[in-house]
Amino acid sequence: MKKLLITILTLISISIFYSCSNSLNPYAPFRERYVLSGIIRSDTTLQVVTLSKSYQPAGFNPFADSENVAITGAEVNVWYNDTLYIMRDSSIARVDTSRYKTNVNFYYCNNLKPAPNSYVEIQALLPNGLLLTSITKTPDAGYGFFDQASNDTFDPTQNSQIYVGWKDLGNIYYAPRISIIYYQKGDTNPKNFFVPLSYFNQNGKLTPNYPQLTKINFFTIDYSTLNEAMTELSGNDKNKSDFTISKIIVDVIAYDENLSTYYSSLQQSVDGFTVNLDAADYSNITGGFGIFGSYYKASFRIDLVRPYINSFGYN
Amino acid sequence: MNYKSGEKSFLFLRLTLIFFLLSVTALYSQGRGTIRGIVTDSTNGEALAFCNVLVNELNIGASTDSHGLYIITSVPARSKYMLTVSYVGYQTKKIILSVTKNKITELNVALSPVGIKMETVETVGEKVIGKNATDIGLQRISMRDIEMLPKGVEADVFRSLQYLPGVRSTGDVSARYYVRGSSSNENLVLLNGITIYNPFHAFGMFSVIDPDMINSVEFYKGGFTSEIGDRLSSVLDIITKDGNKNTFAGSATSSFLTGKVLFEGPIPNGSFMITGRKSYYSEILKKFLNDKSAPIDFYDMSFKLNYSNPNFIKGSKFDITGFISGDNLNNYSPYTENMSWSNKLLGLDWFQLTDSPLYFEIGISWSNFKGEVDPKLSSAKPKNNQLDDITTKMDFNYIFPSKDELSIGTEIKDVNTTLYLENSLGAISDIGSSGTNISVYGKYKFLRYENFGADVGARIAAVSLLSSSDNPFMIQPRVSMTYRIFPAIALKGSWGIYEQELTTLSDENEIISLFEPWIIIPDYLKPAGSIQYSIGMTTDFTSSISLDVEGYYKIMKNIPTLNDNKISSTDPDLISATGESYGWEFLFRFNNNPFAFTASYTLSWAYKDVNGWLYYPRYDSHNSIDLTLEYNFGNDWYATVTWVYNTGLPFTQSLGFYNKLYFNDLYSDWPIYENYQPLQILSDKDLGRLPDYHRLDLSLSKSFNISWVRFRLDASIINVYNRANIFYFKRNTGERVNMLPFLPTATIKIEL
Repeated sequence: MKKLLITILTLISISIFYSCSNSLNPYAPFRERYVLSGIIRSDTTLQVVTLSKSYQPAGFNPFADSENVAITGAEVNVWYNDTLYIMRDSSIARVDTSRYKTNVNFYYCNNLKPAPNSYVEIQALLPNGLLLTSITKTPDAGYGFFDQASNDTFDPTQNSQIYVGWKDLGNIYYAPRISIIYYQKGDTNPKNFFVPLSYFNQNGKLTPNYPQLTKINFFTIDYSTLNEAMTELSGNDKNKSDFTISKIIVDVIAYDENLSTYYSSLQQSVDGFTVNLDAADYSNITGGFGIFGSYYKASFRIDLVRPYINSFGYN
Repeated sequence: MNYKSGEKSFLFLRLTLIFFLLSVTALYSQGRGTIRGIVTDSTNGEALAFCNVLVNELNIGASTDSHGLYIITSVPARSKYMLTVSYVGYQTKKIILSVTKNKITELNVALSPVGIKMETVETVGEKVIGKNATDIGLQRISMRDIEMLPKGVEADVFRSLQYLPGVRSTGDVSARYYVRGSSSNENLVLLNGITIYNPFHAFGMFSVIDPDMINSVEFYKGGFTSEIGDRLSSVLDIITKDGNKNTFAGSATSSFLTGKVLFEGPIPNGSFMITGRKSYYSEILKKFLNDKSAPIDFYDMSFKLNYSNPNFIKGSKFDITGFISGDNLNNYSPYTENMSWSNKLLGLDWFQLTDSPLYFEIGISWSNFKGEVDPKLSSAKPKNNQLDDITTKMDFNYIFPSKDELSIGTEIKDVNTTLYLENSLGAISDIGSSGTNISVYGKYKFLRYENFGADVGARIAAVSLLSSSDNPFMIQPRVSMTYRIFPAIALKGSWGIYEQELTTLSDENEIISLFEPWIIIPDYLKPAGSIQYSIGMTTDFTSSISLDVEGYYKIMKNIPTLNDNKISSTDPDLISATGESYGWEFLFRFNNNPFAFTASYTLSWAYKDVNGWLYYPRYDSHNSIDLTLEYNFGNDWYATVTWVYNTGLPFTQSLGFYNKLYFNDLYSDWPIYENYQPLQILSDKDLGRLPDYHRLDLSLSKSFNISWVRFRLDASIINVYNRANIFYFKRNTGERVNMLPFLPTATIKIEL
């Protein structure tokens, strides 16, 4: 018995001696990498990209590294329809200064608004002579994008739901948004009320389910959902006649293939519990990391019949 | 092509059967007697597998199989023999019997247990019976082994495997195991001969097999013979209890995680057993999940019904097995995904002894696996997988008077799979297929020589699950041999070709995953294959000291590996990889009451080659030591100390961080200026090594009776010295996540 206790105690002592956690350097030798990030927009002529470099913090915590990693002084050129657009180096004041204290550096041009289904190419020549390049094809979300079967007028005596469909552009993401455009008495500026796809009951309270990024190329909104949205629009204001309902506008942002794949990779994990250590990090930048993509925004108008609007007391 | 293949396979089967029957007639008339019977536990009638049965005068014998069956052929006719039947933990029984010429003497033996007190351990005839056993790579695990190990919340058969040399895990969190350098989807888990496709609860933390329902466990680390197919790496063959044939009995067990019950009893000409386990408290699992709460809710239920009526069919035994397991993670919030996965098994087995040394077994079974991730309104990726497997098996065994054995059999496996999932890059896999595999096997065991044994056989997949298979007659020869050079030393070796047609679409980089979706290997790939060589030596220094040494070399080809670069739906889900592994395993056992000590050491290497990139798989640890010390204090007090040491597992080093653009809703924000978060840039895959892993666990148990109720209390401490074993680094924050900290747990078992 005594021998047993001595054996166990010796074993535990040796184990405790070794129990302190070993130090570990998770880093391989550092080699600087470069990052280009840019999303070409269809709803503005202002196009912005950023350039930065990689870093290796002293410890494990990357947030502890507060040295500005932006790259300035690069030559950034964009080609669209055989025309060269030169992006200029600029900066603005940073909103969130918790990590970086310096201005935000970026490159921009203010005269480019690409058409749907067209190519935009970028080249960034860095001060050290390295070249980052990429190309995007804007989504084909121009004329004829919306499905002809979509409701352009909603009449509850004719339809039980609103249906809006659009062209299937492949394995890409769409971001639909549905707004009721209305005016309030004394204000000439139009206002938006966002309509959810449905409401669900959470703790006895109706909670809106707004559209998420989706790969499905249509949505439907039930009559009851629209009724609830129309009721909520005026809030607690009892003077319903002060509200004038104009129309419903459906916006759909279609991401290009690069942006869609990139968005998926941002999720980092396929669910809340799976831990994937070496998940692929998508980039379409030749010579570096980052993303160069584009999106196109298309809009569709739906009119509401007047008796339906009036049934809520609105004009 | 496949139809013709099927015709040929049936022709082969018919010819073999004719040969078989002729052999029976010819050899049986040679004129010696046979002793045959079933060994059971006297208290409950359960079959006792791996008992030794020895004819003292001849110094020959046999050990029982999983049915408790022993057959000793070629016994000279004589009016008086002394038969000794022994088994660990049971009182040895000596029986006098006579053997008649050309007759089978039936002798069923019931042994009385003497508890699990080590001083009663006695096995007679071990040296004689196991002399020429062709069992390289085989480990038999007793329920006592599982119960005595310190419990990470619950006793678990899969976790107990990880103490065996050659078996690896990637962390305390997972019961998933890796054998001799192969991935986990190359392990076959059989419950009463039925495949369980996803044998894990709670993200792989526990197995679905409740240890209380187990009768016997055999674990092949490799080199398994031709009756088993469709896996490259290992086979875990679990046989459940039949149920108490004498009286109604039950037990209830409670731990920090689950409550479970077992009820068993006799029925006319048979018995039944029903078990059920349900999780009721998942807080303790936060320790496993890095303090993350998960609404883990799981259950498993099983039943077994057996019927053996000599008035119906003499020598027959029918078993019906049913098993259901399910995991549900239902989140109340509509913005958090729901997850569920389940297994369902149903099987009928007919075991038949005949009036000659021939016995056969015919079984039909259904195994279903279903897994689903319902993203609801979250950003989780949808995932839906279902597999249905209907298998019919026939096995015929004949034991010749020379003691040689001939086995032939066929297996018809009809598999149907569906799979829908979206990977981390948003690419969708919507695949599923169905197919039928018809395999026949034959093997001949040379057991006629006292010091030499050989198992020579082959398995032929006459019809393949893969419709495009260009080689449906893939012959998988397998040879296993033993030569005892000295009474105390046996040399062993095996060689074999193995093939696998089912795989999982799982990501080897996922160290915690919900479940592995199963599919038939797509037509654009070939079936996975491996060639395995192993050699070994078993040394029994004394009756209480033994040393086993085994070396292995394994070449793997056409290993389906997840295509990390699948960006579009048309990209292949899987690509083909090759692999290689080799190593040495040492297992030392010392058993001398009140001590029992086991030490194992493994020296191994594993490599995988994907698209020309050679790397160490995540489960490759070069050195591994497992030490287990048990002590019997007497009076039903037992203590166990285990210490595990592994050299560091591979990990992919970081080349630093870059600031990655994040965005969600491009309507409401414009992320280009400031929405960046750090993300690690990874170096070449798995070139780094984590620090070494080691852990000390303690366990103390006490059994006692109060009136007619028997109690067993178990208290365990996991990671006694609170070693900070690293699990992984978080990719986007660099945060270090450790494995289990100091964790005391306890269970109580009540038996009626």
